[in-house]
Amino acid sequence: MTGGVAPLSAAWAPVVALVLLAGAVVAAALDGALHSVPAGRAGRARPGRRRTVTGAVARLLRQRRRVPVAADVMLWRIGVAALPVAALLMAAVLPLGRWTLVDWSVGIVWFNAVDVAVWAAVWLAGWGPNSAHALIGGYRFLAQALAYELPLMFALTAPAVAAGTLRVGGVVQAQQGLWFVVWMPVAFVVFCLGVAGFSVWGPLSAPAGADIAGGVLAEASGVDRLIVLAGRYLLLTAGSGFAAALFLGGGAGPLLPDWLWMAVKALAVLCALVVLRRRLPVLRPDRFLEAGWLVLVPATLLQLLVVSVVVVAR
Amino acid sequence: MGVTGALARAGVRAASVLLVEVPGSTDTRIAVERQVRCRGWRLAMSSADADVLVVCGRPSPELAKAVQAVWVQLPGPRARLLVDDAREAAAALEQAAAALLDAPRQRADAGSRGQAGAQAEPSSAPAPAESDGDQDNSDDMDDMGDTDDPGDTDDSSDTDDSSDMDMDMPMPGGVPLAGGGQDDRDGLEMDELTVPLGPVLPHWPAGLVVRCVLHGDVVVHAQVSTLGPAADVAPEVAEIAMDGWQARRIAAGECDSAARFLAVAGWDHPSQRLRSVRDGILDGAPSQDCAREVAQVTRQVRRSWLLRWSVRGLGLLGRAPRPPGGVPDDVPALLRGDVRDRLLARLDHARDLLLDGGAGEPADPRLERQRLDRLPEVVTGLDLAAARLVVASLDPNVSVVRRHSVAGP
Amino acid sequence: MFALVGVASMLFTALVSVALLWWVALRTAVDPRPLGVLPFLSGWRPDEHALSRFHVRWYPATLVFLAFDVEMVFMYPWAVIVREVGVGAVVEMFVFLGVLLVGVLWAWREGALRWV
Repeated sequence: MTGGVAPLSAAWAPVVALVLLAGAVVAAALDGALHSVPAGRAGRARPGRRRTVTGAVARLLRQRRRVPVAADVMLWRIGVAALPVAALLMAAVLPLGRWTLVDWSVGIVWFNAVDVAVWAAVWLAGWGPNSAHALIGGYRFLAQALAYELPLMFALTAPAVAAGTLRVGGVVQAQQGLWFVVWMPVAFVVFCLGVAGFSVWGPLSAPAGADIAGGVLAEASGVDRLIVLAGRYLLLTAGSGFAAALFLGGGAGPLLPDWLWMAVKALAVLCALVVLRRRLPVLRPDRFLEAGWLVLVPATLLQLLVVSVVVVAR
Repeated sequence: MGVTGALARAGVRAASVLLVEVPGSTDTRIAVERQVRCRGWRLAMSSADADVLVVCGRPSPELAKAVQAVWVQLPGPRARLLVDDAREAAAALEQAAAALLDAPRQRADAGSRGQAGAQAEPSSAPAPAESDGDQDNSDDMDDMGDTDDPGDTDDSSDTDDSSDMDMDMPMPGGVPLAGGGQDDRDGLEMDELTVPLGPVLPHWPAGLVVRCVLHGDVVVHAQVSTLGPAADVAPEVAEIAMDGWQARRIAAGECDSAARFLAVAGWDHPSQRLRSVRDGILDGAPSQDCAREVAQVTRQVRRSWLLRWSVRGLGLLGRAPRPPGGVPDDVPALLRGDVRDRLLARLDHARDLLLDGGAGEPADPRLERQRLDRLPEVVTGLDLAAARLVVASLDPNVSVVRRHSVAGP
Repeated sequence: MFALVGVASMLFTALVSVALLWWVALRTAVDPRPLGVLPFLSGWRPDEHALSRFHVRWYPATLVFLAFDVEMVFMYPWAVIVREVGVGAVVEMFVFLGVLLVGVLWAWREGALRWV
């Protein structure tokens, strides 16, 4: 059983990668556009010139790379490169409408495994450059990950329990009648928070915070910085795609073809995350650790309990 | 050539600017910030992130050394400016854009600078040669080894338990290894890191230096010092443009400070709003409109339970019940409470100034002194994120403090 | 088996893309050689190398995390069979989780979730 989605041949990998890249570019463009919109109704401020993705990419391609004294260059580069690689590996099991690159029986576990690999990537990106700010950023990420990861795992389990399968395509199929977001709203919200977490985004962007000179980004310049930033946007896009697949019914919807529905839903989640970044303050990592364990873990477990009881009772 | 040129032109449109404000040059810094925004540029977070280094005002030699040390870290293409007059901001940035586009010059500049990989030999480490031995002004407390080239290390006596190790190993880049702290919380043998904050740091009070000793990311020791403008610089004199101008300037300053606090807290939207209000106030927009906008932002900040929860109880000053031997309760009203109270006090102050007009008291040197003096004690024991918020909430005006400590008794 | 081929192909694509970007930057950067610098410290020379025995003050939290993380090994297979096994599976799993949660409460009371 393939769960309604057809696996593609392995040769389609570059196409899937490009689809994900397109999503990341949309997110970056939106973020740049929001940057130049005058905030508030003061109205006197002329809107600044638009910041384009092309400009940002061109700037970083032209910029020189740098290596701080006695940096662990090898580990640093591994950490930097691992971010976009992780995002693409997530996308490999994501159903894009009717198709998926890999229709894997353990797709959800795979997603989980890759998002934990991001821990290593971000920490290495912080440890590598031998710089205090970057190092603190790297450790901050780990502290934060301890708080968001478990709730994220439980949030991932809820759709799996409801669908009775760990196949992402199967979870999409199981939502034919009713989207999971309707009866697992807590899991959905926590999942989105987790996406922000592993993308070092918005309220969970303290590891790259303005208070520590950009944290894990503090020493990266040129193409290295480009890869880290691209990796963050790609992770955000992949995470939004999973939110759409696991909670918003994937490609299900009237009139439009499956792939278009999937794109619309994923982009909606993605844009919401991009907009929320400006609207919410960054959470302080030490407070968040406590909140993660005392609020998010029990809340997601309660959600999971509700889901399993409903599944058993049906 | 065509591709390289197109890349350069596109890239320069997205340039990012690292600002260094010399105490007393706030007007200039604000003018440059506005121009940066207007061009679609962005403020940089660190030297790695910057294409343009803009020094606002003329720095003292010590401050200039810090600027120089940051300048050699800019990856390039790079441009450096000294803007001494708010009216020159636009022209100066135009000049920077031209410099960034000047490909032959940038290539020559890049070719003349230190390459990575040669770092095993400390002599070729790309150290800012001028910065050697310039730290006397701020580190009399902590002799973790002077940071000169290893050729002249004579500090074998002062790094305690790790010094024997340091002696045997070549120290990459002439920088010693981190040593153990004696009074670690958990009694573990962990290393201390010395992390100076300021003078070149985004969203940081001009001229302030807080030298922090960290265990992990927790500040266990902090020492405050200040850096100033060049000796012959006269304090910025505001032109009197209209009635109540003094009050408006102070209100704009309060908005600016609050905007920086919110930027440190990672809350872009109200921070950006406050910057626009600040610009509106300085442009002579109607006071009523500005006050209304300030009040709206205040409401937004006050209502945010996320902010309240995130910073509750941070940097608490002078509020009962105080621990025995704690902060004596002579705290001025503007400093009372935690960081959020101080932020709201600033915003309310700005709104009142806009509504009442009036003369507007110039910054009180004793109050600014207090902001500075209370810093080390409040910051110690906090993690770096919290410490940054506390500094941003106190936001001492170094220029006022320095002027009065020179002139005063 | 097919799954592995697909994932490997995606991994290959990703690595080639990153390598390609690095290669392109060698051509487009003002200077292909990385610049050697001191770390950014607000304009000061570092007193010591940042790579050090960093005091991870939240290490007790990592231990609590580990307990739950191992628990996830049971959780995923469990998720698949809840429907078939029924009430028994739910009760067993949540009793187990409840015990772990008591552990979290204890760790919290001991201050394991605070690090400042």
